[in-house]
Amino acid sequence: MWAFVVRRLANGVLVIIGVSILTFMMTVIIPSDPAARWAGVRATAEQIAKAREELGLDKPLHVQYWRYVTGVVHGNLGTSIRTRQPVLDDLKAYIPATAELVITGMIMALVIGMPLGIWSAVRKDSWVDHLCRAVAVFGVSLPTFWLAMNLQVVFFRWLGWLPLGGRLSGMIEATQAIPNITGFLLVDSAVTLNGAVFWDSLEHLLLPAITLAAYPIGLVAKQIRSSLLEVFGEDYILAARAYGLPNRLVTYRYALRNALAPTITVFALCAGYSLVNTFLIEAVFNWPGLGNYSAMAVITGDYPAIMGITLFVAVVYVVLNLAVDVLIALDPRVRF
Amino acid sequence: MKRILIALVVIILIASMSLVGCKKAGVTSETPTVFTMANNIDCMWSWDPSDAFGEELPILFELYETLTRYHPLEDELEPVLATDWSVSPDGLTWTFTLREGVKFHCGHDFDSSDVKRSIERTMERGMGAAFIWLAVNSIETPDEKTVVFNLDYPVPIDLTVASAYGAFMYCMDCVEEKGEDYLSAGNELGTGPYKLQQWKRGDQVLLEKFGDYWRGWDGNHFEKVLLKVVPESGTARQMLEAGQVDYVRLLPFEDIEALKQNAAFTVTATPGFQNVYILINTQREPTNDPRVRQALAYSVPYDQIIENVMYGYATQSVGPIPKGMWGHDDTLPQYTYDLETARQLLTDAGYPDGGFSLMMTVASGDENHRKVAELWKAELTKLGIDLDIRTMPFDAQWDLAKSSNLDERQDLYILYYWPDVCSPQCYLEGCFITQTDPIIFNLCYYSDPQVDEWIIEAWETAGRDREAATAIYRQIQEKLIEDSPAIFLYDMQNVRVMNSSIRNFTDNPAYPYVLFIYDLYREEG
Repeated sequence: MWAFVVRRLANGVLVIIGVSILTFMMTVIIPSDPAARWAGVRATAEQIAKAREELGLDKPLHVQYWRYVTGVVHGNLGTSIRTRQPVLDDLKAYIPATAELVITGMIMALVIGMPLGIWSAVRKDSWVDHLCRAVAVFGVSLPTFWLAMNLQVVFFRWLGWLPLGGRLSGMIEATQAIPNITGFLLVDSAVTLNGAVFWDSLEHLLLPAITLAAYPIGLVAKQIRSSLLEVFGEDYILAARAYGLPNRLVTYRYALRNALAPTITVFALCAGYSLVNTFLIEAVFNWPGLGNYSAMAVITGDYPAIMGITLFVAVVYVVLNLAVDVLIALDPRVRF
Repeated sequence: MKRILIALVVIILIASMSLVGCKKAGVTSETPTVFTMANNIDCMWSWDPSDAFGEELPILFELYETLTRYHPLEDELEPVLATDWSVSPDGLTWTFTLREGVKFHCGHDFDSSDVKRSIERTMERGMGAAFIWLAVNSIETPDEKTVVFNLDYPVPIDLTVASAYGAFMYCMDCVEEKGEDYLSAGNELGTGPYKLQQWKRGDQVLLEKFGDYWRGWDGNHFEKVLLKVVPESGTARQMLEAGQVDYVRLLPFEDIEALKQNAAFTVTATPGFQNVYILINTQREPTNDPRVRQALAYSVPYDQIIENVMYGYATQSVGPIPKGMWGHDDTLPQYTYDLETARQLLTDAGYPDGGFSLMMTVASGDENHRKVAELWKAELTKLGIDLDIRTMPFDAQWDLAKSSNLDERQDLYILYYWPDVCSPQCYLEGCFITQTDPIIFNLCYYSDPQVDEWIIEAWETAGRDREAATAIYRQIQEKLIEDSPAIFLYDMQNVRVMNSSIRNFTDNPAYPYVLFIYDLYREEG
């Protein structure tokens, strides 16, 4: 078991190193001179040369890469060419908003997707099943931006129930002390018992989170349904039913447990994907997260920022995968 | 398991009930007056007022002040941190008297040593618009409220100290105490009406009123200013319509036309000092021939561009200096759309049927410039000239224009230009004086010793004798129009859309996108 975890961990580190080398190479070919950006509009050739030296861009590639890696190990992700702030500080400012959105979306996906899938499997071929499957298919196939804009039209324009975008409304931001403990507004405002901020941030979070959750809801529901149906066909379930055990017990205690493993794998991959998918959602909902920062970094050829974002996403993927592997490995039937 | 679940549900219920209670309390608490604006980007690229040379102005001008403020349409200088100033007859010594009773946000008093040290720090850092101080040899502070500028050559320093960039006054005691990087880390040390309450990177900037502001807080003023970053113009428009923001910095003309019909919004259009040039490569065939360049200038469908691209919010330029700026001269000759003359000029230059291709770079994302290029391309085709439009990221376009390989450079560069020091000099020295290292904005690579000499002479005269300087500027412009190193396309208007309840707004084109929010107030109905 432990050997397995260590092996997977080593694998993960290799993946991250690979990703960092690839991204590093790509930033080199971008047709933009970071030194010229750094030195400013009115820089002389001499000043640009000086900037190149300061940024270490005059060194051979492998030396540049090595400097970058040693920096990362010491918690230094370099300085953004565009914002001129340490990339780590930039990331710290943007990640909480994105993370809050993704985590809320994922919780929604589980809370809605699992019951849908179970219901659908238990009542196979009934109208409930058809409805659940329709919801699942819509969730998986609707384009994110389409859903996002339609939610805005319905809930903001027509009904006026929910705000258009942002994390908080202007009045709240200008008049309330916004707590900052974890960077997750819901948690921070709940902990400090700041009701105004709590409700306002919840209202702002709903639409983007639903949009983000749509795809995983569909995925989870479909996966649970098909796994459950498969398990329902197994002999031991048949045996349990033959013993006259209550349906509820058979479904939740015996069938569901075995149907969960593939769902967890799919769900974790989907969570990693959602981290990137949220960039589009952030743009539509004006959510101040990593999305806009990444877009600006790419447009302006801000290579330290691009590297930082890529590394972050790669690490999240690796960690999620590792967590899934370990979870599944807890199943005594899995052999190494 | 079940017990834990029940306990959890109970806790959540109690917590949410207490939160509902708080919500009500939050609403009844006294609410300050807030001015909210939507900006398409986080404009705070640099928080250091010495370095800022981009889009930071709408915030920096609420936090900081300059010695004087320029009102270009009236050609008047308003005293701000300086109350009075004079110049010696030779134009080399300028003496400024500073305002009494001005405090920085940090609590320190504002005095002459701050002026001296702020400007010296700007010069030393050499970032952003530091070049505006090039003529300054030394700054003396005979007493706490007097500052003397000694110049190497005469320039109108009273205009320089009003510059939108690089002329802010800040507390140098604090900079020295807190370190050189204190400001750029997202702090401020100004004297302005508002102080920084919170900056959330990429999301918003929140300012609150500075109680000790020297103009005082009698009368009707906003107590807070909130800048929200809203990248999507569609979203920004919806927020404006829903009353969530009072002002949107940039909206497509289509949206502005629609909002104009609605009484809930006020649309103002004032002559602005931003103009657009198409810079022509004067160093390479066939555009090194002035006749070819003139032919190009005759082939532009000016009216069509202004009508269809700019929705009428622009006028065709007369010379390189925009309308409203001193030095601008309406009586100068102007190219018109005239394909016959263009064809004749091409024939004279040896290209009767055109037969060449020109490469024009356009910054990606700039829809207006792309449309200009497309409209022009159709006309050039009629002359047998192929316009090869290359859309590329701004940085790539910029690097290409400065490429050391001259063959790589573009033939045509469409440049959107705006002033630092609000003067004709900024346009002429920026784009048409000989530049080799560095090339700044002279991307036509134009070089004429006579023009160079005149440009320097005009600025040196400007501090002493505005009329004589204006005469020289006319000379330069005549020569530039004749030589046609650039097509002077259009002067833009500043178009602002605001909620109609906002009163007392006047646009000052010397300070692009600055609202001077202290002067504004809200009045419903």
